[in-house]
Parts: sequence; structure tokens; C-alpha cells
Amino acid sequence: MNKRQPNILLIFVDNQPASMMGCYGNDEIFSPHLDELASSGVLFRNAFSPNSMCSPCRASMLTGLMPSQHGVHTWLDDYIMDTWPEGFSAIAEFETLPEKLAKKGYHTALIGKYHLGFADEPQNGFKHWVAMEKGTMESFYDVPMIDNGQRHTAPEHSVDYFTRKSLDYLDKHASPNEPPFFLCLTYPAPYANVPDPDHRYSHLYADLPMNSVPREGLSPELIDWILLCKEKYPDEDFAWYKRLAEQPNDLPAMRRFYAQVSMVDDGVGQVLAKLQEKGVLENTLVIYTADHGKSNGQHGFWGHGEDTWPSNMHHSANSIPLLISYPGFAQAGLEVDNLVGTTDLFATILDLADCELESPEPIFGQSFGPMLRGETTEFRDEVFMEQEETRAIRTSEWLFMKRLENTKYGFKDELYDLVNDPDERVNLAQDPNYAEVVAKLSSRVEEFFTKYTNPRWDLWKGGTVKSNSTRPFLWEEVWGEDWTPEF
Amino acid sequence: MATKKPNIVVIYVDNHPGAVMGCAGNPEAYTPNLDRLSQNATLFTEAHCPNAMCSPCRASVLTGLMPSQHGIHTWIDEYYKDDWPDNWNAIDEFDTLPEKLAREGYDTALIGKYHLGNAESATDLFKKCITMQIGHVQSFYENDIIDGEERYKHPGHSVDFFTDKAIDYIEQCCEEKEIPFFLFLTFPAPYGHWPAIQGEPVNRYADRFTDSPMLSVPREGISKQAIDWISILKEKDLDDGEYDVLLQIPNDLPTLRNYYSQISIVDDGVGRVLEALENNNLADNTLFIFASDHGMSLGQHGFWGHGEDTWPSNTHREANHIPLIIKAPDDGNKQKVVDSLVGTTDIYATILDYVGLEMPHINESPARSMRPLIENENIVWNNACFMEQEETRAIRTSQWLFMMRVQNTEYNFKHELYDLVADPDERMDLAQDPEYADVVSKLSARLDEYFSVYANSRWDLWKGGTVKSNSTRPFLWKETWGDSWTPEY
Repeated sequence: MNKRQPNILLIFVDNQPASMMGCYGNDEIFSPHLDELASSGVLFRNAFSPNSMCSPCRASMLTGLMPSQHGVHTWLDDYIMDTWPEGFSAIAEFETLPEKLAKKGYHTALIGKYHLGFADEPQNGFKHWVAMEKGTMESFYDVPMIDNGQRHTAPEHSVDYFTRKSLDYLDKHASPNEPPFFLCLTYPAPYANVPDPDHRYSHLYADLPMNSVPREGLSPELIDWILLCKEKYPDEDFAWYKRLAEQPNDLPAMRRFYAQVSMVDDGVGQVLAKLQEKGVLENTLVIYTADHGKSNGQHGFWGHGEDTWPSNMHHSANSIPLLISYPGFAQAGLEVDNLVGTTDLFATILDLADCELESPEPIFGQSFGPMLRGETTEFRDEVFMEQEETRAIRTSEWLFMKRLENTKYGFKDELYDLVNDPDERVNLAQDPNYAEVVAKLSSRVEEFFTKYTNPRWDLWKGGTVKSNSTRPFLWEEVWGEDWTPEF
Repeated sequence: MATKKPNIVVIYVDNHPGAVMGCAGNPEAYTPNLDRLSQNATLFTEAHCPNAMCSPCRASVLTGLMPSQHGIHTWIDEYYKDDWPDNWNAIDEFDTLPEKLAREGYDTALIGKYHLGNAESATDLFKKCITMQIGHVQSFYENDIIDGEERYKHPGHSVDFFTDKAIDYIEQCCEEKEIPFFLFLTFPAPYGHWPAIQGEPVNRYADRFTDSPMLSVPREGISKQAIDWISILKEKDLDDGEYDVLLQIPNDLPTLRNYYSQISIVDDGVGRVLEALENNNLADNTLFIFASDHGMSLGQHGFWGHGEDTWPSNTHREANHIPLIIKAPDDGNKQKVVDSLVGTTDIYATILDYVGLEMPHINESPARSMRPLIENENIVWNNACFMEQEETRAIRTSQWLFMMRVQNTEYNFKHELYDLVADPDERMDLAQDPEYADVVSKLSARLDEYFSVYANSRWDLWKGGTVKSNSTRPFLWKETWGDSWTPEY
């Protein structure tokens, strides 16, 4: 068939593990529109983010690069905004996805959360720009927004606000007669760490037993992290970290988080209906994914893989939903088991938009376009992840977390046999029977991070981070007291 | 009818909350023997201990005194053993229950855990002792035993071992028919702490709990107060890693299953002792009491175990509510349920009453005999329980739970008030609500009054006193009373 130049709707949500959708087998979540999207498109069972924090994954999505290449290793801390250079964007030096698409004639829009620097002016090749002033979520309500230069406070829930703004955008730009659009809709939800009063979907979850999240105690690694935060951080920061221990198994907190997925689902439904109404659905590549996963208590921690000591890459932290519909191209109802990553999605979008994947930096991502058509199930069987002191490879057989060695903490590697232990419970890394597996995977990790790093941002070799790290004390201990973030 | 004084058997277990028995309405607990006992005895549904730690409650049941009177405010930590006086017995200065009974002609035996100082000193109180050398339970297997002159490691599970010894003792006593006996059988179980109950259970009741969802323990997150406790221990450099696990245990299903299986083992021991009494025709002339030293939160209110393991300490129901079943001698096996508020010190007075000994004076001990409640007498019962956990002192009535906190600290502790009628689960703290200022001030006054009587200034932490052996928050008392504050003996 002829390759058309499709419209692209990239719905990129905040903190949602794949397991939190009906179409992924969760019988407690109400997500009818997402389930419908899955059945009209392709569902990826094994998609993973390269990091489990917001800003690094957003940077990877827009640049196709790993954190050690683009330099964003954790969430960009808005509270130190005054230390940022003027007009700071953490990925300004790269040719980003919207820039590449704009060159090909796309009209580009960001509607939602940016969290890669200052949001006052459109950044990175986006033309239409409706963004939250700050990346850090403090509330879903009364959020200060920048709408193409105008500042105001959103009167409604921010998911509803961005839905409304997307509908307005599509009304203007979605037409078979207009140039194709690239709408990057980055909902700041489901997110789990802000107060969240009841909304129109809360009642669905009011008495939910939450059996889809198995009951499990806190892990020693979470407690170590919290106690370390107590030691290293001021009291007000510790008050935030402490909540990481309060939320697992807290049914009201878990239900509130689930209810946000229904809010997002509602927005997705409205946006898809608008595409239909405008007659462009047939020629739109619709992608639904998340910046990263989130543990709802699985493996004894809450939220981000960096919120244990040392950081981890367990399934829940890095597993992301990935649904792709592209009528006439992607095979409806197809499920793909192959491992794919955020940077592959970058490559795939460029491929389907007929853009070259050229970049001065090496790009690990590959287009999985042929898999969307159901033409092949051949794809490389590995994804790589990094979270400051931990670097990992996941294959269909193994999850291996390699830990930085030259610290005083004596971090241990972890190895899980995903065939016999899909829940990642029995660490085999210290078992001599697995020494060979460890050696092989370890060298694959090393090889990967030799190629896909920029020495300036390679924390394991004396590099630094952009803006901030969540463990600056570690890097000062390892690389000397003059270690400091850069821009 | 024999005129002989009744035999007394008290099975006093370790960390067993009152709600975890079949006869208390728990559908997952397997306690057939306790359930059967409750059908022929008096079940007290509102029994509360004065403190939620092992040693203070043991001292209270043996002396009829509150912690601020006997001086033991927390578990006696064997870590300080080298500081203890020679052959130290923490309640040596009191005329204890076994000593009173011995003067009445009783044979007295401690079989089980002592945990009131040097275990060798238990013989100061009891004529016969088969006890554990260490009070702090790490395992139910192969513990070091003091048995008269012998020292050895017991075989098998400690509940089974002590049950065997108790049955031997009962049979020996039968041979001396004229001498009544007092058996204080103190199982070091179900316990409820790692490593003793870590991991899925491996014992004869394990199968019963395989894959059990443990829904009788509601799923609940960790409380801020539990995290604050671990973090303050860290800050004060008192965290030896043992406390961290308190945050790991709640919601750990293997641990909950293991714990429930230990309760079944305890129940089995109770059944065997009851059977031995019946087989030896002693059942009718025995005052039989089943109780626990204190309760135990299994994650309820976001903490694990003891009321002192939050910051500040708490006296929520789960921490202080104990099982209490009393089978009075010659009572015709009547089943009865009493919901009056009773306490550990009342067990002491009840025993004295059934033996015919004089009650302690009301100015000396808060202990009240429960005999009128058991025998259906129409009496006026002061329906309240008082509790204390270092910085927290509390009163529980049928309407209110009020936790009063010591005020002269840098921590700005808040009081807590719960309306037990409207909010039996103790979730809505009303203490800061101006509407309840009157209730708060009345209950505060009752607490002040109570502790003005039932405290010895030497052991009254709220008025510059100290503790015996150790406190779990020595930094608090040093900050409050000066650097020279130190435990005594």
C-alpha cells in the first residue's frame, strides 16, 4: 500500500503502568475508550520506558536518546527553576521529534505537561503550545497554564482542561484538506502523588477491593531509601518522601489513583470522537502510552523505580501501556509480545511519517512499523533502562539490574529468570550457577552504555546530570565534592 | 464437697489480640479449644491491658499495679543485662501474687517465659520454675531453658514443650491432693515478630492457612506515626535495624498466615491443659484463666505490634485489647459474655478473691475483682480502663477513648479523642474539635486523678520519675528531665 503522511496524535500520560487498563487484563479499571482503542489497533504487551521518571522519559520520547545521552536523569526540579539558564529547555541542543516533523510539513502542538524546562514559550519545535507552567504536579485543580502566550488558571480538572484545549485545536487543524498535524497530548494524570478530591469517576472505585494490586508489605529497599532521605534531606523534603511509605496498601490512595485513569479515558474518548467528527480518524496514527510505569505497591514500593535504595527496574516501574491505531495500516486487534521501548516509538513515528532517522548521536531505537502490520514478529529481544546507580537489560528471558560498583554502599546486582519467575522474586545474581548469565548480560549492559552515552552525562564515568539528581550525595561521594549538575 | 482452696491455672500468652479467636467472631482464626472453653466459661469482650509491652503487663498481673507504680514501662531489654543488679528481679520489692498464694499453702509454678529481669530470679517468686533464659523471643524452637537445676535447649515448638511440662506438673500436683496449686503458664507465643514468624508457616497448622487471603486483617497502609517512630529512632541513633522491619511486616501475607498458625498452636496447648485438668478430675475445682499480656496491631491503624511503636505511642484498641476467658470453679459450666471494661490488674484481684484473700486497698492498687461480674451480681462497676505507654496515658470508657499526651516536650504531641459509639474503629480524632473541649477536659481530669493515685513518684515519667532498666525513648526523658535522667532498678 502507499504510505500516506498521517496525522499523529500522541497521547502521553503521566505515571501509568500497563497493568492499569481493562485491555491489559485489569478487571477493576473502567477504561472503555482505551479498551476500544486497543481493539481497533495494536496492543504491545511488553513496552518499557528507559527510566522511571517523568522528565527523562519525555526527553527520550522527543529525542530518541537514552538519559545518559540527553543528560536528563530524573525529574527536573521546578523548585530550583531560578538556577536554570534563561529559556532553559533540557533538550534544546537536539533535533527533536516535533522539529523533524515540522520540517516535513506537520503542524505541531503540545497540549499538556511539558516538564523539560521553562514552559512560558513554545519549545523544541512545537508551534501550538498549551502547557502547565510547572512540571511538578501539585494539584489537579486551579493549575496555572500558559495557552499560546496567555497565562491563566484552569478552572476545571486539568485532564478536562487539556481535553477541551485539544478539541479546540482539532476543530481548527484537523481536516483532510489541511497539512497533517502532530498533537502531543500529555495529560498530567493519572499521577498518584497529589491530593485528589472526589470527581465524577470516584464513585466507580468507592468500594473497590483493589485485588488487582496484590497485598504486599513494604520492601527493605523502600525503607532504606526513606531513612536515607531523612539523613540527607531537609525536613520538608523528608515529609514528601515519607508519604511513599504511607501509600502502598492504602486503599483510598489506590482507588483515587485508579479513578484518574477513568478521567483520562474519558478525555481519550472525546478526542477520538472529535477525530471521527472531523473526518480524519482514518488517516491518523493514534498512539496511547505513558512516560513510565509506576509501582502501586508491587515489590514493596510506591511509584518510581528511583524510590528505593538502590533504584530498581522492576516490571511495574518501567512497564508502559502502548496502544497504536492506524486504520488501514496497523492490524486491528493485534497483540504484540515483543519487547519495545520508548526510543523505538520515536523511530516508528518518524518511519510512519516518512522522516529520516538521522541524528549526530547514535540512536538505539528501531521502527516497529512492520510489526504493526502483522508482517513480522522479528524484533531485537532487548530493552535497556537506567536509573542513576542502576542500569538494566530486559530480554524475554532475563531481567538484569547492574549496579554501580565504586560506591561505599556495596550495591548488589540483581538477576531474575523471567521464564520461571515472571514476578521477579528470586534474585539469582549472587548464585554461582548463574555467573555466566550475569557475565554475559553485564557485558551487554556495558557495551550498550559505551555506545549510547555522552561522556558529559555518563554518571558511571564521571559525568553529571542536567539540573538535578535525586542522589547528589552519591555522586559527590563517588566523583568528588565538586561534582555538580550542569545545563 | 472439698473445702480445699481452688487450684489456679493462668495461661498467659504473648501478644495475642482479643479479636483473633473464633469465639471473638474471627472467621479465619482457628481456635476450637478456646471456642469450646468460651462456651463453658465467661468471655470478657472488653478486656484491656495497661500497657502494650510484655514486661509491664506481666508485672501488672503479678502485682495488681500500674506501670507507673511498679516501674516497668517497656520490655526489659536483655541488652542491658550487664547493668542489672545481681540476680535482678524487677518486681522483687512487691508482695506478688505467687508469694501471697504460697503463704496460703499453695504450690506455685512458673512454666514459660518470665521476662521480668534475670530469669534465674523467678525462683524468688515461684516454688517451681521451668522458664526461658531469654525473655525476647527470636524463635519458637530450641530455646535455652532453666528447669530447676538443669539447663538445656528444649526440643520442638516451645508451646508444645511448655504444655508437656504443664501437664506433668498438673499430674504431679494430683498426687499431693491436699495442696492447691497455682500454675502460671506463660507461652512465648503467638508472639508476632520477626524472625519468629517470618515467612510462610512450617508447622502442623500451616496447611490450614495456605493461600488464605487474611481478610480478617483489613488491608491498610502504614501510618505517618509509624514512619515517624522509625525515623526518630534513626535520628537519635537508636535504630539497630531491628525496628525497620516494623514497616515491612504489615500486609505481608506469609507473616499473617504464620502468626495465625501460631495462635492455633497456642489453642492446641490450651486444649491439652484443659483436657489434663478434666482427666485428673480437677476441672471443677480450678479457677482457669486464659489471657494475653497485651494486644497486637496486625497493621490496623497503620502500625505493627506494640502501641509504643508509633511516635507518639498510642493505645488504639488493637494494641491493648486482650482475650480474657475465665472459668470459675464450681460454676456449673455456665456460658457467659461480659462486656464490662476490665483490665489486667483486675485478673490479680479476681484471683485473690477466689482464694479468699483480702483485696488491696483502693489507694494502693486499681485492681478490682471480676467475681461479681462472673457471678451475675448486681454491682456498680466503674466501666473504664486506664492505660499508659510512656508519653501517652489513656482512658477507655464505653463511649470514649482518650489518649492524653505529655505536654512539656519539644514534639508538640497532640491528644486524641475517639467517639467509640459513632466511630468504633477509632478513625476520627475529635480532640482538637472545640465542640469536644468539655469531653477532653473531663477525661483529662479523670486521667490526672487516676495517675495521681496510681503512680509512685519514683516511676512517674510525667513528673520527673524514671523507669526500671530501660525505656524505648530515653532521649525524650533526657530532653524533658535533663541529661542526668537515667533508668534505675
